Amino acid sequence: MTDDRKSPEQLREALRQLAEPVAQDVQARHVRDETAALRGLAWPTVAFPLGYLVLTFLFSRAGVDLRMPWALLLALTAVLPIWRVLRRREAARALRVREVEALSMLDRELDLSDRLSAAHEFSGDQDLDGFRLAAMHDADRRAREARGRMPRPLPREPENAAPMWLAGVAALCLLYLATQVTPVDRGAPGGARGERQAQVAAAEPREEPRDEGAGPEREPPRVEARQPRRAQQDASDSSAGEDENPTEAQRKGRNPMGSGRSAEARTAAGGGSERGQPSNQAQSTKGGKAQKPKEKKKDKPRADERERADEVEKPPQESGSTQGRGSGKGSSKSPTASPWSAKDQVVTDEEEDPDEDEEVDDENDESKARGGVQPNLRQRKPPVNRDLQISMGNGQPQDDANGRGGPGGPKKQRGVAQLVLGVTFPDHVSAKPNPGISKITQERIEPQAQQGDQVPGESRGARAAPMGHLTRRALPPWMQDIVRSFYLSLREEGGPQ
Amino acid sequence: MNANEQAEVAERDAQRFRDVHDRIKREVQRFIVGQEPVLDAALTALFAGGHVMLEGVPGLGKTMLVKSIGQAVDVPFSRIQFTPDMMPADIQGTNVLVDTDGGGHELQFQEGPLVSSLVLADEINRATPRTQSALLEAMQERQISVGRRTIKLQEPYCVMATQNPVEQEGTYPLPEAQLDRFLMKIVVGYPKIEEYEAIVDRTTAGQEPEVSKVSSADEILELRKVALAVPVPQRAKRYAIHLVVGAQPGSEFAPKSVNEFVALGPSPRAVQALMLCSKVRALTEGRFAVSVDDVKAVAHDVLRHRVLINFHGQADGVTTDRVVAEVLGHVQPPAA
Repeated sequence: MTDDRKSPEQLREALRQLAEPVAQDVQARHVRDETAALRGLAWPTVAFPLGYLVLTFLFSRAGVDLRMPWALLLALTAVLPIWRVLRRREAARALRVREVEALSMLDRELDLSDRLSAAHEFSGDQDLDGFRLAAMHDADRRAREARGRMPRPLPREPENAAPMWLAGVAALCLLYLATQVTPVDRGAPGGARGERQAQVAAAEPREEPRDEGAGPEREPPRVEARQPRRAQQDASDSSAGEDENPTEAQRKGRNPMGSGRSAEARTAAGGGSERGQPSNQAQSTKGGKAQKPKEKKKDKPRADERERADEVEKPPQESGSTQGRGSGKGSSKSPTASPWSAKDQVVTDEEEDPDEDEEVDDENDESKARGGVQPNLRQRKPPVNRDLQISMGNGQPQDDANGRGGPGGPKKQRGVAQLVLGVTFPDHVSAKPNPGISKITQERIEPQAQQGDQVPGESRGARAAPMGHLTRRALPPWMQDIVRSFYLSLREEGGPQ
Repeated sequence: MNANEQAEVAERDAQRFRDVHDRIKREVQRFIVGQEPVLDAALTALFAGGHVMLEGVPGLGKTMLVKSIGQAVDVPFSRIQFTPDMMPADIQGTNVLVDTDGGGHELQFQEGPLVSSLVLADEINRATPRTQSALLEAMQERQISVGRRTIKLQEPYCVMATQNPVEQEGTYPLPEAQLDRFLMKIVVGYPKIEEYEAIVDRTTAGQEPEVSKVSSADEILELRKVALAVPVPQRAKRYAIHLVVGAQPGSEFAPKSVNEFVALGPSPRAVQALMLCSKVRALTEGRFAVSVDDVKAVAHDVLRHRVLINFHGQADGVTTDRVVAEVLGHVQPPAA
């Protein structure tokens, strides 16, 4: 039996030979995974062109041109696959299969209960005792017995790069398709639109070159809506007789107040035409605001120009500053008159409009024009519900919870409600609650004096036994002298000894 | 002795260990039907040099199991039936006035049942804490002190205690200090339904099988040394440590249930117990080194009485077995 045994060195070598193919197999699996990952690059390759195509198509419907140069498109298409390749390469570099890891995997595969990994650990020990050697022999024997059950190395699969080629071709096709998408012209036919653009340019001499350069993609009605009010009136005058393009029809549909009117009437509808109807003027102008272009902010700095325009047309109006806001002829001079209260009734849709801050700026200008800062009552909302009533702690926010201290919700535990015992707090005892209801009744009772039994006094008898050790009190010297002299005087008089 | 001879000796020792273990097991199984895990755990504690707590409802054969082991191994065996009025002197021994040859009297020390090798402490939780604490010194120091006399207990010394988890009136639950001294706590369950027939046949036929002695105290002591020589790889050692630390609330490896329901986790003594029991199991499984599987196999028996459930856990009906199971599921064996 001893002859068959290997020396510790031979056992170490045997273990190494055992671990080597397993480690190679693990590496091969990893390579296979990497190959699969390269094939998985097909999607990232196609992802950008596909998304670009979709976006181009969607934006073209809105009249925006997203087309880019081919070089940029190809570069953007290559970013994602290159990034993935770099990441995978880093992961592959990080993988190192050690012998002990390979043996541990083999232990699991062959159900050897850590025999091989333990033997590998013992093989590195300098002082090998009998049990360690026996463990190494046992591992070697078991490995030889299990040789037939060894996991076979994975066959290398031929790399098939077809999906990558396909993905590349698909990406190019998608990019080509995306470049072929042209934005949809949503405006009027070219001649009329160009003509109106010229009119708009005439009415808006300070239009920035960038806006002009936007060319046919720019939506004409929006540009029109962006104009200052006076300029808009002029543009309306000039375009009143034109054929109605879809945008005009759309506007009419939104603003029925202005349908079928003349240019002046429409101008009035945008300005002070709603005099006497302050309560719904906001709704009527809302349609116009919905058409409000984004460039309106650029128009605001031109207040001086607008004022000049106002001066020109001031005679027919009572108050130009309230134009378009419904306060005008027939309204009181007081800023808190009915038009403001009417504005208070405006529903919050306008307030939620992101462009409304621009409108507020206009309002401020108008307030200054009225001679002072006016309360911006349009922003007035119903007061915040601060009802702190106690809901008996079911933890569910109520319907009227507003997150500001109202009933329900987590903020309930703040402020006064925190001091009320009825407010629920998370229980620190995570056990089941005690079933049943406990009721605590407190009664306030005034304390009453009670007469206790009198204990009769009793004279102390003479001491019959020694008192034992008593600690001597520490008296000050002058008191000790007094006591001493007192007892000396008693002794002289024949008192108690 | 060269390396190969050392390996041969180790293999022979391991083979002998397995033979003796199997012999005792077969002999006890002539009398005890089923309960194989319980028997394995009790023998593991015997070979590892520890003490065993057997917990189960009455009638499951706990006392019979311990008696059978005591009979199969030729060691002095004694049984103590604990009662609330039992005093330490009743189990340790006391000075008794005896007649001398010359007609005089003298005080002579009479040993109690604790002075033995295999002690069956039946219903240990019925004894008062004072009597229970008398066991502490015997279990840990392997000696008893009565007056000025100190008696060394002979090896192998093994206390196998039983307790009934149901009848708790008039009992004194063992303190943690004493529970920690038990190497394993084995829960004895009901037999399987197919084992009932054999139980009936063997116990009601009028001829009870006799358990013969198949081992000796010296042999047990030798095999204990063999078990101690089993090496533990780093991976198994780290895993045992992680398990014990994982059962301590607030530790790095503790699962949520431990942090929530455990008041006191196992002490380092638990790691020692895990290693000893794992070594014995490795030998009985025919291996020469401890594996992670061994640690897992003995974890429940070693850890369940070292985990103290807090009030919240008791209120929620959390058991120590559940906590240990969650620790086993949470703590993963370290990488090789």
